Amino acid sequence: MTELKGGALLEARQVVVRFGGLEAVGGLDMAVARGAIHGLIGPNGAGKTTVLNVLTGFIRPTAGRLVFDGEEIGGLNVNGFARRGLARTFQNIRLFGAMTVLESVLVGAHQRFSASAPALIFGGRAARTAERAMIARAHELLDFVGLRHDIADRVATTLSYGHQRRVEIARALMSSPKLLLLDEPLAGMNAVEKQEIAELVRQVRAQGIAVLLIEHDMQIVRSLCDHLTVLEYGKLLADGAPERVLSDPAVQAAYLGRAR
Amino acid sequence: MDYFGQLLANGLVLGAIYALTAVAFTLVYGVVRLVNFAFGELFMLGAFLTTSLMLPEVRLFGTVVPMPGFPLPIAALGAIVITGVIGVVVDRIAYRPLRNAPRLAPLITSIAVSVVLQSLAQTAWGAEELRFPQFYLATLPPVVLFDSIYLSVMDLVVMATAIVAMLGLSLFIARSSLGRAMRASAEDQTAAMLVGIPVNRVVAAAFAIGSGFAALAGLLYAQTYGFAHSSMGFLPGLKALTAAVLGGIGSIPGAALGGLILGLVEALGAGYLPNGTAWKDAISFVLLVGLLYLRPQGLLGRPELNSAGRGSLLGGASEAGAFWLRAVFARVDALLARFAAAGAPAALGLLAIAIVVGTLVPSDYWLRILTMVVIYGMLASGLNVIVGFAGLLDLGFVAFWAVGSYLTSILFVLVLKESYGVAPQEVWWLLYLNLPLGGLLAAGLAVLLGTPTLRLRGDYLAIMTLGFGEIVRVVAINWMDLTRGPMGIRGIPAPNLFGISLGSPRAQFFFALALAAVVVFAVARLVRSYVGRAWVAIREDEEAAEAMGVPTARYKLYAYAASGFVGGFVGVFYAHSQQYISPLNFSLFENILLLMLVVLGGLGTFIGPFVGALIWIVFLQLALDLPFVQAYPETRFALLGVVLIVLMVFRPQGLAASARVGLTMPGARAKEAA
Amino acid sequence: MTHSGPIIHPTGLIERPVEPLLKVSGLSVSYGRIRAVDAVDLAVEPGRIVSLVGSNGAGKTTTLMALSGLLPLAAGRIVFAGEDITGLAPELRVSHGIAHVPERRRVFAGMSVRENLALGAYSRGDATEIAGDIERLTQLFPILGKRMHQAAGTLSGGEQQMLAIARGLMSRPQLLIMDEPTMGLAPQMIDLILDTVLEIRKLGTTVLLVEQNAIEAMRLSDHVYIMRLGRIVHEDSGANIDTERVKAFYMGVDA
Repeated sequence: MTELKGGALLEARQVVVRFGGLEAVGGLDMAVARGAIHGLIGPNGAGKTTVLNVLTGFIRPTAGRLVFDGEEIGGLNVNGFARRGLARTFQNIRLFGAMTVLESVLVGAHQRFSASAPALIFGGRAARTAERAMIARAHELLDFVGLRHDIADRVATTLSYGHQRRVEIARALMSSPKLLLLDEPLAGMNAVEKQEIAELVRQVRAQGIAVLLIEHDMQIVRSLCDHLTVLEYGKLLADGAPERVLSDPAVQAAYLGRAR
Repeated sequence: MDYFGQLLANGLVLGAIYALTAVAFTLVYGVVRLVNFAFGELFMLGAFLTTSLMLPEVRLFGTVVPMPGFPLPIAALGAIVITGVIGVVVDRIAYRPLRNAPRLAPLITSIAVSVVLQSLAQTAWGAEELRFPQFYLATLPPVVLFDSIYLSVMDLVVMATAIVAMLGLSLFIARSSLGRAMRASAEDQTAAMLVGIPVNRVVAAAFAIGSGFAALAGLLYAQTYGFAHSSMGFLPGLKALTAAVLGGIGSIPGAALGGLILGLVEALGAGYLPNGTAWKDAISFVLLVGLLYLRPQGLLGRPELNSAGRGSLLGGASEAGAFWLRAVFARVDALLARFAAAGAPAALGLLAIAIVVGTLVPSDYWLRILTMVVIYGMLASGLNVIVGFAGLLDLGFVAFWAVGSYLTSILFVLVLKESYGVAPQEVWWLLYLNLPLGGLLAAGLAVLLGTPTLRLRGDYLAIMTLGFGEIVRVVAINWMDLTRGPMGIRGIPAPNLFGISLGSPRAQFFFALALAAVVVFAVARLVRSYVGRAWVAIREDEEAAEAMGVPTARYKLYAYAASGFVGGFVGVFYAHSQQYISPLNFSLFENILLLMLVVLGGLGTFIGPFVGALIWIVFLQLALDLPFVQAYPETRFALLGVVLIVLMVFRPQGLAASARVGLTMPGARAKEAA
Repeated sequence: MTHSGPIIHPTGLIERPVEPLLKVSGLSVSYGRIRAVDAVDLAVEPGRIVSLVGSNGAGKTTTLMALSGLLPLAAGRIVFAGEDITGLAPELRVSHGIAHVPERRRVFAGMSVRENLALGAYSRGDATEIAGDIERLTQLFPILGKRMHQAAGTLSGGEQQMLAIARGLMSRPQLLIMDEPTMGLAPQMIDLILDTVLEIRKLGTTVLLVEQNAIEAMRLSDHVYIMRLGRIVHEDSGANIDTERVKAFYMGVDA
């Protein structure tokens, strides 16, 4: 597993995360292929969200390297990760309160704006054109995630949970990422909503964007993911195709425990 | 050596007092993570109550009331108990409802509580100093150490009391069941509840003990310096907070250490630095700012205290309050919202109304008042950029205002008129140059001051900006050559255009109105773009903003710069409009007032700062017609404080909350709709 | 306690149907717009070990937090030892006889083991017997006896878990709620903790257990509830429960 072929979009090599004396992630190697839907699974407390936080720059690993699209990204700030093309959503949806759907989604395009303060104040033509283009793009993406246009001016946090999840995904897509990282995108949804979001994830992949997701519903994971990485105690337990990984006795034991 | 020894002794006495007050801050912060600014006022109450209880009679609310004339120990005990009870009541009314609110809310409430207590104390005891009565111990001859260091018996009593009280408290926290429960609640409130600790009662106990300590410190201070006064708690309160932060807030040994260090540094600094006594207040704050920059957790503290919860004031629409109260708020809100929804036409309409009013109002008196409304509205708009849009509590905003005012005053009066003999009307155009220049200078200062605060969040950010504001004020007072110190600068020329004086109240009003239009227009343009979206995103969820590619540090600095620019810009006009400035114009209280105006009107709105300024300044004048207010003008500030507490508890989003501003460029949306 | 105490049988077996110690009906909990727990009914009979089993996000921890008063109910009723405790403050539930050993242990890290244990008895009036109880608990957890004056934060994960359990027992509860007591622990330690659960029942304390180690939890429980998406989808006695069915729930195979 340490040797990786050049095809990987994102590679983590020997990543270690320690909190005080506790080792949350221990020497993890993993690779997300271009165009893949990659599942990151494991029992509670296995370190999945920690790994996702490492992969998005939220946690700087104690040791190890991160290579994204051929570039070393380990030393960047969180916004640097976003600027390189890693966009994420959060386990507990984190939309900006008091912002409308359109405004929230536009924040995702932050790096595409460049007008200076005088240009903004005195109304530069370029500034206006950029704003218009991004608003148009935001509407396209709202369409893409399955939200109706009349929702654009509603305050995002007043929407239903499922809609908020979609707004969050649209916001992440607004930065035109190469990799979308979703932390439990299906949590708290009913079976129908889960299938809808799963379908949306497939459409994202169809746009050429790779997806890494944490999910607990194995039924969905089985049908949605091309590749699974299983963690236990912060270490790699299994890695490979879903059917093979999920029937692995070690993986089953990680979830269900072992009979004594 | 003699001199040093004497300074050392003075420093120890002062340090003991700071340490006792710092314990109050630290204890409450440790248990509920709240910086209770009001401890300075509880300190003052301790002093007043003790003094009153020791006297045979006291003038309260203008009438002579007979008092018991207790000896010091009994009076002190009584004062400590009463202050403790007041502390608990304050917690119950003003803080407990906000336990789960965003961090900014209780912080602002505690500032409001400060204002209320101080104004009430002034109402009760009057604006004069109340002399601390003579008593037996104070008449004893001083103890002389090493033939040269003079310590009064009471100095020794102060030190001994502080040591005993702090050891006693440490023992209580370490050994008693309630003390253990306090430590448990401080570590993990949920776990504390799960083992059966009534956390609310534990918090109340922390407030009672903390308030008692503040009272004890206050009465010792009053005894040492011989007086009690309604504003006496303000600076020692800030110093004690500094001491608590210095030692590591949340740690009792830290508070003792911080108090001691601060007392000694101040005493020695005052003794040895050139012109030290004048600069001693700045020493503490420089120490504070330096420490927060290098080691935010304090000497003995833990880093996790430098944190803030997510979400802004606007997020938490409160469901609390009586039905009629909510109905009133809803009515006001709907009115303002409808108005704000109209956007630019409404703004132009408002401008038109202001012009009509400015043309028709016959009285110069009222024109001057309306000019103040516009000035305060503009200043509050500047503060609103940083607090309301970017969500960073800034208690040092007045510094930017001061920079603009001093820049133009120094240029016009001290340099041109007095050094070169240039008459102001010959260089009337300089004012128009100074406006942007003052803005830029203040913006530069804002970035300079903002940079070290980038690592800080929440309470620590507020404390550090407060430190900066105080430093600038102390500099303004003491850099005599540059600022003329407390005398201020007189004879600043009124605004002038092509040699025509705009000094009349009506002309000034229109001048202010024109500037306000510029300020609102510029701020609105910035806010309604990707810059404003980045600010609001930072306010609402800094981490998520960063994850969306917003370089949050840079955008915080932009917010400081924009806020500073407005402060400096308005400051230039302010100086010419008042024609006289002094450091008193730029006190922390002014900053607090501006903050209250923004909160009153609605954080993060364009109209809110002006609504707040209008309500407050007009009220300030109208209330003067009431006989009661004529007798006790300071009760108006108490009322403002009460209104603010009510707002924070029942309506943290402010009066004009639904006047939520759009964050997309107006033109860009219009095109899309077409 | 004025109400009738639990019926304790030395072997933990109960021969006749008895009033449940804890009876939950229609319990619902929402986080904002998400209903995390939806109309859950539970009955825990005295002297038993009852398990709540289900994959991550099924609502187990939320249910437990609602039972100990940490989360407000959207609907439902909680009756404990014949008394309605639905609206009771968390600290009062402790004095009524419910102790909750929370997820991730949450010991008071800066305080000594002894202080943690003493805090466990905070709700009790009888200060004199606390020392004796600490003594007895060190027999159950000998390692804690050796660490009595050490700060809890310096203990290993397994030792912290034992401390959390012991702290819960210090209130002399009728019902001990345990949330994921083996999470993140090494296999031998897991065995030790699960053995302790059986010991606790022997001492006469009823246990409501949430445990990720589902196979083992089902084996040692008298009764098992299976949760999925905030609802109880299946229940049976520990001996009869169909482990294959549970496996299907966990691994996403259609059952």
